[in-house]
Amino acid sequence: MKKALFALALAMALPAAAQSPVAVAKESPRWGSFLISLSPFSPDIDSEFTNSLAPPYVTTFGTNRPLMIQGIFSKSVWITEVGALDVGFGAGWWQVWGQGQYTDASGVVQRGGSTSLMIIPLQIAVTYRFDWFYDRFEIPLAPYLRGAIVDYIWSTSGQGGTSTWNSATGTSYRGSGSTFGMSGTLGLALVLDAFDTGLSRQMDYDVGINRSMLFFDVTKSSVNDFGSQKSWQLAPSYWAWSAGLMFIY
Amino acid sequence: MLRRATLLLCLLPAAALAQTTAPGVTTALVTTQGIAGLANRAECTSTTSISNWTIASSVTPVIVNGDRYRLGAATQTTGCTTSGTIPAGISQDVLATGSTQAVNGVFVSAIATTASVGSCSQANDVPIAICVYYLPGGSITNWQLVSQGTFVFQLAIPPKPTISSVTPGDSQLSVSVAAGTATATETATRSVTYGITCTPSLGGGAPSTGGPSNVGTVVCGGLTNSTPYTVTAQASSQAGNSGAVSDVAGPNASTTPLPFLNFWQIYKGQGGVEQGGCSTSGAGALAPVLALLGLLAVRRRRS
Repeated sequence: MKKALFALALAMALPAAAQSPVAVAKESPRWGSFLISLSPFSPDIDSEFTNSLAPPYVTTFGTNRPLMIQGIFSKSVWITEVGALDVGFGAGWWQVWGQGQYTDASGVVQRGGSTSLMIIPLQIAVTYRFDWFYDRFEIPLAPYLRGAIVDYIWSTSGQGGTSTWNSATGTSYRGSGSTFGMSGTLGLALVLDAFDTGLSRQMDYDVGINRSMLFFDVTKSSVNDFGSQKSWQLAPSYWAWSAGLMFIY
Repeated sequence: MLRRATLLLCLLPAAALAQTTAPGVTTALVTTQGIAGLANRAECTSTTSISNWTIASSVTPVIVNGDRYRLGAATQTTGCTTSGTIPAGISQDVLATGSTQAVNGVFVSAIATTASVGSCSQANDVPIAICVYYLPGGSITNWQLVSQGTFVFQLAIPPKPTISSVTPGDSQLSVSVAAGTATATETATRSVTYGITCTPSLGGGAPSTGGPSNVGTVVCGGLTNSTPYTVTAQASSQAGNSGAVSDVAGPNASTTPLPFLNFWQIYKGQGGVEQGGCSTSGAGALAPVLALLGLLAVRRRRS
């Protein structure tokens, strides 16, 4: 019985071993990087309403910061012994839900009806990552700097789909559009390869990923069409932190 | 022990194959509800509710000989009779015209009686066997079972639901409904749909209905703003058995639809400067550049 079990275990292990020979070759050439991140996000739309007792964003959606998910796909355009300069394109998703409001003749405000704000953040990002600490001293840390031009495609919705608002003069404003801006990021990545170099080499051999990193960064941004007087502020008022995984391939 | 297990494993595929070689499958469509293979309480007791069947026989009848089919029913425990005296039919024997044949207008109550369903108001579902007997030349002495199917009398009713919350909207109410706790004559495990009824509390208007929906939130639309409503919910089983009506919610502020402003309307109403549309400054020209660079990056990667 024991022999049969041993044979069974061996039979199951053999195909896996055949597919994954231990990698001993040197690192594959690097092409670029991909990262995916999560970040609590809340736009500073209410910055227009500093004197209002009931600014629209916080009144509608509250003070929570729903998570924004983003990914950046980059090409390394300059790789040196110190680090790599990546140029990439990023996209993401964010949405917040809240309740609308109705004010009756006596001024009593009631809440009801669902309403939302959705943002698809696009960006062209230039990142410089210092790989020197790990490559030279095997210290598993890689600080990086990133600058980006961003385009937030946004849409607001109410009960009947995309919102519209009609002014007293009869002009109709559709509640969707895009707003440009820029951002600067300071980050630090933890090089996970340092904790299991064998697995790291195997990953490079199997799928071409040279390095895996866990990162944490802070971003300061301004998304108001570069200071336009006809644009709202879609960037957070704070240094927004994000965390995620970065793969060098 | 190991040998026995191995033998069992070897036999399993054979058993599966054996099922596929059984006589043809008989399917039913109850016309009053349109639910295939199911009858509800009302259909079980009704003297007018009928079912239509499509039989798929394992033999090809000879029409000129006057071959006939007889539709029978049996409890699932005993199953269809295969020898001895042929059981009585649940409808008149029909002239066999092919190996696949429709038999329409079979009374559901007759099926229930023949299959010994018993009470149509019991809490349990009663699955039964439908049997198709082939009578060569119409003879009842040389008959054979040529097809069988299943049919379920879904007799349990869903429990009384609970209205968790009501959220008012513009001319509508969104009602969150939760499943109730089942009593002895109900079942909470069945797949049910919820319907809601919104009735103007001051009279003067017809009730509006929402659903049916199998999700927790059901919307009652087409309501009159500023009118308080009372809201009730009711669950229905898949076969159409309705459960008890929930307790009444409202009338109160939550059950009064109002023309609520959405976020964009609140923002613009307070004098927000954003105009909507594509970028309101020269930055709009960056949009196609961003898109182009994104596309280029993807194409370059693929090549």
